[in-house]
Amino acid sequence: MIFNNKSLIILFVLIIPFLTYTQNEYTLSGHIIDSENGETLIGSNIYIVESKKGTSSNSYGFFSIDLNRGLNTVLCSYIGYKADTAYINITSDSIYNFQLIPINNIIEEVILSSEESTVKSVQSSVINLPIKQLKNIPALLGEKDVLKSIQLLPGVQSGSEGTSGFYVRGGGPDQNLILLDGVNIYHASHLLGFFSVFNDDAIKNIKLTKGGFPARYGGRLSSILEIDMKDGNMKDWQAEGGIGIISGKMTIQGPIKKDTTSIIISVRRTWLDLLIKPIVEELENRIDFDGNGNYYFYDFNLKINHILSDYNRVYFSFYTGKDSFFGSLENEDDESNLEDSDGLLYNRTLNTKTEFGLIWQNITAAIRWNHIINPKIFTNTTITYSRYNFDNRIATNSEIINNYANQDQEIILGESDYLYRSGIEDIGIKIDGDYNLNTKHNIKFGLSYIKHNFFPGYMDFYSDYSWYQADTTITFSDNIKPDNAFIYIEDTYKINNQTTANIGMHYGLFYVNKKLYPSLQPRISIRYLINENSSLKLSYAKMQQNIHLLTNSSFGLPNDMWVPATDNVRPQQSKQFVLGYNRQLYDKKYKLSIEYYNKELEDLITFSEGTNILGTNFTAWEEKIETDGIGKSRGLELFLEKKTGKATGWIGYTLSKSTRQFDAINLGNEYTYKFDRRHDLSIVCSYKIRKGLNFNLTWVYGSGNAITLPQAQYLLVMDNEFEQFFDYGEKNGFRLPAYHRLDIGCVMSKTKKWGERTWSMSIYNLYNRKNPFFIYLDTEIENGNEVRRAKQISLFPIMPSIRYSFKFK
Amino acid sequence: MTKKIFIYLLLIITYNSCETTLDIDLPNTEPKIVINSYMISEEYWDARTQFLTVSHSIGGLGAIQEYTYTDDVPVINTATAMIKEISLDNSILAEYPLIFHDNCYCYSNPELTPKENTIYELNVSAEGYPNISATEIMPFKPNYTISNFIMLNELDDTLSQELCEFHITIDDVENQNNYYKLKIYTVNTFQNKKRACEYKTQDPIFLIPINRYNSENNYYEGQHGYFTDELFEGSSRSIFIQAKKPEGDFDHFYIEVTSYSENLYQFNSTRKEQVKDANNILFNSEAIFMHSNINQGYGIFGGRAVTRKAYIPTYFPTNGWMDY
Repeated sequence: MIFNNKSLIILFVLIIPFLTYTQNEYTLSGHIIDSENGETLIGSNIYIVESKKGTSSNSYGFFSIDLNRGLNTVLCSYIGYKADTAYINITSDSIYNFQLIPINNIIEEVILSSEESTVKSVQSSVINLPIKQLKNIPALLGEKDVLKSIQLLPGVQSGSEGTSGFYVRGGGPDQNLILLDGVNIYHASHLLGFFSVFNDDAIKNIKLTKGGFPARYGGRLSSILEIDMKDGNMKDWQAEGGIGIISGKMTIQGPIKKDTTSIIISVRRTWLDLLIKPIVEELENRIDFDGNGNYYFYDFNLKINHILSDYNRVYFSFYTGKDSFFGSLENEDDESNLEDSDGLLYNRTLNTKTEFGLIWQNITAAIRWNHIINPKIFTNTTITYSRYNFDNRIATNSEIINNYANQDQEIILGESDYLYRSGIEDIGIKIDGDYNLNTKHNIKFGLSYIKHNFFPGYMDFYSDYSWYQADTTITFSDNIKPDNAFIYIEDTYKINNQTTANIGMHYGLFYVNKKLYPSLQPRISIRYLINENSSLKLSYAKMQQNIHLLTNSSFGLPNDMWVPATDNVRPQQSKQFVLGYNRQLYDKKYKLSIEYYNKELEDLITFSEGTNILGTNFTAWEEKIETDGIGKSRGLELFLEKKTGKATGWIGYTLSKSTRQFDAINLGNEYTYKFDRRHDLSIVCSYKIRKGLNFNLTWVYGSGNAITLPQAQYLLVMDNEFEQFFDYGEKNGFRLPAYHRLDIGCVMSKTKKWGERTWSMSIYNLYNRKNPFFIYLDTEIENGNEVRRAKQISLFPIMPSIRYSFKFK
Repeated sequence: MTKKIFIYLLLIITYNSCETTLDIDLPNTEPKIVINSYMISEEYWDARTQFLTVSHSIGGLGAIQEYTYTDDVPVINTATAMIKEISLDNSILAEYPLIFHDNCYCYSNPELTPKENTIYELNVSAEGYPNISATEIMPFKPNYTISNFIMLNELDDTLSQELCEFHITIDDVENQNNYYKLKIYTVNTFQNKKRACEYKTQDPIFLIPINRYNSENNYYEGQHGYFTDELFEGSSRSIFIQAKKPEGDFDHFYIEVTSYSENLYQFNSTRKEQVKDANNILFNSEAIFMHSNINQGYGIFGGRAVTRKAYIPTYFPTNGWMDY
């Protein structure tokens, strides 16, 4: 009841502006676009010189700002572009589109930046990563990777060596909402997590929000990663691509109708088929299995952007990516001198061919409609589709040839087909509105509905042998089709020149198995401007997540299982408090951000002790989990960034502690979270030697992951024999060795008659640090005695790589 | 060609750098006394079904030769062990020093007959190890009756086939958590042969994690199913059982219901999980934490109570049934 009263107060605060508002200004609105290709520019700044008011463009490059009647000087700026000034004599609500001219290579001097001044923005814990910056960071095997770049930011850490899974402020891997053009991507990695599914050539912008969530965000507890695809060049046809050690990619974009309709198509395909073979052979040797295994993945992106009018624009985006691990087994068995039921002698030859495959695939699609109702109200309506599925297929064809002594021959054919499938499918609609009420209030509102379909596991088995026929489907866990809806409203309220607040309310409904989970999630962020160069920020956000990911691995196994909250398993929840200090130093060349966060998680789930992930899909998942878990995470993040000059880069440091507690795990005692990382340090540096030549360096250091190892062993008499048992002490009580690595690289670009070519060379793990991927215990015989040894698997030694990229004019 | 060599070199480096032996600096855990001791209510300490063995732990990466051995058996024979019988109001009723015996490599005292619902405290000391202590409350002997009994086949028919079906009604002791296990044995007295029978039940009290049951069809089928009184605390529960006879000829069979102390049940539960998980060399499943009631040590000092009822077809006058 107290909560409801609070909600009413907040709603009242939100409604007050509507009641008291009277118009005394006119509104200028429009889009900000790149003059060369027509791409909308997200987060560009608009500043009115006379009134000293400012705003920034939204995710679709749209802005709306109130001007005083008469002549106004409007400045429009965006990093990497020449600022534009417009003198606008305003006498009524007007539209004006800015077309900014890019400045060549300027981005090389600007490493990482949020376009709206971090000091002045209300939101805390937000980082924008320009895609061009990504291209300067040295990468494993030369594959530029969005998610691995995110891992270099404070408060974000990697899981295992080389993998693209990320953990934000002590949260789990499932607590990050990854949106590609507004559509949820459930499995964002290829090749067991070593590469993310995002092709950097098709991406325009990356924005990570790890705390201080405004009300428009929901569905995950720890972070929102928004990845926007390029819209496609509205002016000219353009092609670019690249060839690296493990993959090649190609992007074509251009106007179907100039300045009206554009298309972009981007494909990436690995040729890991060759590179992965020794690793597969090694794995096959370990399990004594000769399967001629092979592997590939690909990504395909498509986006069509059409301007219907000044007030209407539609987008269609499509993505599909697939991993396929496949192989075949052939076997021939001969048996001689067999006797059939009539006493006839014969020889038998049995030929079998088995083809197997593990396939996992994402498909997403979105249709978006931007509509400007009036200069003050912008709406976006999105219809989304997202699907992730994991298939395991084993198909066998057999041929039995019986050669009788009397020269008769009998051939018996048979076949079987086994398919295991699990996955998730969503269809949804979302409407977002942006209402620039007046200079003090900017209102955002919206609603969303998603129909989920979880199919956590079923098996199809077909068999046609002379001795056995079957055609059956076994469902290990029933399909669950919950409904997920939310509405939100938020107001960015400029209280005075120093203080601005973002106050909002997010109300969600999750309906599953005839059980309704409502949730009221208040959000508030306050920024206090100490002076032009420094500010204090405070935020509180309550979040609810209605789905869980069942995994006990640190790498992206494709059979990690997404499961919904059910009548037995409640949605997980979090409360996060953030206190931040932001400052610009030395003529704004440096930016310093210090944030303290405290996050409490409730209703977490995890696998029960002893549950083996490799066998989990074959049983009902609800029988294998522990519920009602509690998580605590707190930490201090420091982010020092240099944005201009020849040397640019940042230092990110995080000091944190993260724990979990389940009644049935670790004897009910609180334990260290597997991915608790006490110290996490990233140094990213780029030095511009001359135009077109950059030297880049990245050094990362992190405390080792927490793992559980036996601290003692003992023998007990069981059934007249001694059996060995282990004492694990504290769960996750042991730390793997610290992780650290130095990567260097250089990027050489040169303009040619036909366009631009770029060589990117890098060395991953320069000093060949053997970082642990995982460890296991092995027993060896030494001098006649059994000795137990811990062995570490390290995946990536020093690894040079080279990549050639091209861009046609 | 250069590119080929480059790729090849890369592969070789990757391949050879995969695995290294790790010098793990595990926390320095001192060796502790390990107790393996079972008591049975109202049965004398026979050094066979009731016993106490004392050994010690070694480091997590220790080698098997680091154990202390007596002859070739990894037990300590020089420990001092004492069991005290304590009333529920904490007064010591009796003390039983335990003596090491070479024939069982265990400690025993034949004068000790554990009593139902009585507390026993174990104290063990051995040179070089911290002293341990443990307390255990002995469970009541389970009280049950058999009804609707139907014999389906002959005991002396050597085939493996349906044996019988019956209802077993358990009377649960109220105001405490009770843990049970049901077993059925066929016996050939002359050949001194005993075999456990498989049985099947659909009663949900058997559908608990410690039993491996068929979740698809919701029944338990096995030779030794555990169940708890969670669904019938303090009352009676009638359970329908269908039993199978193992191969061989037998002259009688008996039903054995064991009640476990909470410590022993939890210990067995976690022990089974850890054994099941023993081949988990890659740590791809979550570790199992063994339950123990040994202070400053490892293992179990556990109590159970057993009630058996035999069916001997020729037995008169109880229609074949007798206490066993």
